[in-house]
Amino acid sequence: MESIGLYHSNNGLLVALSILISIFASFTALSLSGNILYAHRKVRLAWLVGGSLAMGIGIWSMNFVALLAFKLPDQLPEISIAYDIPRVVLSMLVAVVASAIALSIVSRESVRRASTVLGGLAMGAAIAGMHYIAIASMRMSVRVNWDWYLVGASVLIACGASFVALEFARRTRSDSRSHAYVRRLGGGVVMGFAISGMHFTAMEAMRLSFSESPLSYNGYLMASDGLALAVTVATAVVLGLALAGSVLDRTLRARQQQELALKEAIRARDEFLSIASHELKTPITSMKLQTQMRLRSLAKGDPAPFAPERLLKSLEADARQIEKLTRLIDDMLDISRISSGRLTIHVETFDLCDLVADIVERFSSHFQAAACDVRFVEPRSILGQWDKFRIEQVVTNLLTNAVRYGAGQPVEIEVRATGDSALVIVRDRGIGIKHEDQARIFDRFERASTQLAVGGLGLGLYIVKQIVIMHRGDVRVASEPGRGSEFTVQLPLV
Amino acid sequence: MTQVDKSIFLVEDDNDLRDLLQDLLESEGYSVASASDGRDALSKLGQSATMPRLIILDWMMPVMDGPAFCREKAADGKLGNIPVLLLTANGSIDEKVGQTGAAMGLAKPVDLDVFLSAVHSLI
Repeated sequence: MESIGLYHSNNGLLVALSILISIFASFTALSLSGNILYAHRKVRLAWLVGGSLAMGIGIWSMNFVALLAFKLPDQLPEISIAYDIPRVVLSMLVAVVASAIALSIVSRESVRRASTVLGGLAMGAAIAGMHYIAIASMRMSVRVNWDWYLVGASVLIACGASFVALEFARRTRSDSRSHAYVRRLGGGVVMGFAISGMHFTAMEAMRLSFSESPLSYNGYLMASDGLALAVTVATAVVLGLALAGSVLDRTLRARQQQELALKEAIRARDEFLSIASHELKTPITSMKLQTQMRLRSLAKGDPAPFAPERLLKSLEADARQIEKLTRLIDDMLDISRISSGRLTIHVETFDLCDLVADIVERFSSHFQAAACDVRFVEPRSILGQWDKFRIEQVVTNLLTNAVRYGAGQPVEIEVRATGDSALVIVRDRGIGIKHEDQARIFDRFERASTQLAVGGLGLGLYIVKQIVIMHRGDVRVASEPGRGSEFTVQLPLV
Repeated sequence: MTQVDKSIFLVEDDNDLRDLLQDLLESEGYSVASASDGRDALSKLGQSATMPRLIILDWMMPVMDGPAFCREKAADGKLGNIPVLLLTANGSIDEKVGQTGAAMGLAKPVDLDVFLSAVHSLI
């Protein structure tokens, strides 16, 4: 038996085609992993099976087309290559199994690094298995000896590429931003070249030599460029269908999310209307009943309700209702001004300490009614340029909350200057705000209280924040549930 | 009729409205006890030796609102049979009456004569 070294060559076009398939398959798989993640039960299983088929056929096809690119030396024109069909099918099944492993790992709710490492090993072994089964299906009249280092290297590359692929899928699967496609395409290109790298390393591991025994190719699939093209086109169709399904699914899901957001907005509006109507109608009820009671007493000639002491009490109550209604209506108008961008700031120079002292003084009856001790800390004077009316609103809203949520406990108000800012701090020892709620209390219609009716429209802190932002200042909260809240308004001094 | 027979329990979170309704009902000869929310009402009623003939209940309140109070009340053997007059600022009164098992519902702002005749009819 003669044994001389033979050097194979590759059909460049088919190599390029196989790399393209590999990129396309990887991109599709990355896209599909997101679909599986968000689907439920039966739909999830359908995505998993369909995805494994598409991805497995993609990987297998890349490998098979690359095999078809493989050419035996030109000095042996009469030597052809043929494939054993059962083994070819087996190699495809192995690729589908590898894909199923990969997709079921990356589509779990939470994927740990350890799973992608194990998954990478399993998937890499399966891909290498697919490749070598496909090699074993080849019938050609040369003898093959193996360079075991390169065989090992090809398995390592398969595992490494699989790990990178799983990591990529893990990180991009829930990415729905507009450039997510670019990221997936980038991932697909990296993985595509990695898979191709595995294949061509494995091919380099083959050492060919002459074999004198003639072969019969009866019943075998003959390698040809036409076969490569047919496999490529069929694979492209399968991957294209999978990708189209994936995109359609994502579009439908995006629309579903939009609908949910819309429903949530409507729910928030209804809740707002319900609270607003309660807040507006309660003071009106008091005033209406009061008025009707007076009319009835007049008609009966009963002077008792008009005795100075009782009249004073009922008129004071009326004044409170009017004040409450005015504030509510002002808040609603401010919200409409803020959302249409018509809220403007008119700055003037004034003393922040005087203003806060005036407001605290005006609030004394509210503090008394809520049984809150007040401690007010202020320096002599802090002059600055702000909108006096709006800053008054900020302080009023913070004090209203302190009375509402901190009833029965002391309230501290502090004004001070630090560096280039003035600070107004309002501290209560009331019910406090949970950490997860602290960010959203500054949003429109939001209240930390889960009870529907702890009073208030959920507009106060939103208005505070908008006014402070318009002054180029900041407002923040520090709070412990059950121990109270501290609101700090920071206003620039210059 | 004894004083106990004309007793009313009033649950309303707004201090001014609660005081006003209490004054009004007392001037009509009722004896009135009150609470500022559902939880407060349950605890005061639980400690009381005598039961009121009627509960006047605001719908929207802090801590425990009207519907939650009605659920607790229905499960309580002592309170279960006391009729409830709902006061609510929002529409769909029939729905709310059906939902809570209240005897009657009135919309805020309520009219003086309508309110008093409703109270008379329920006691």
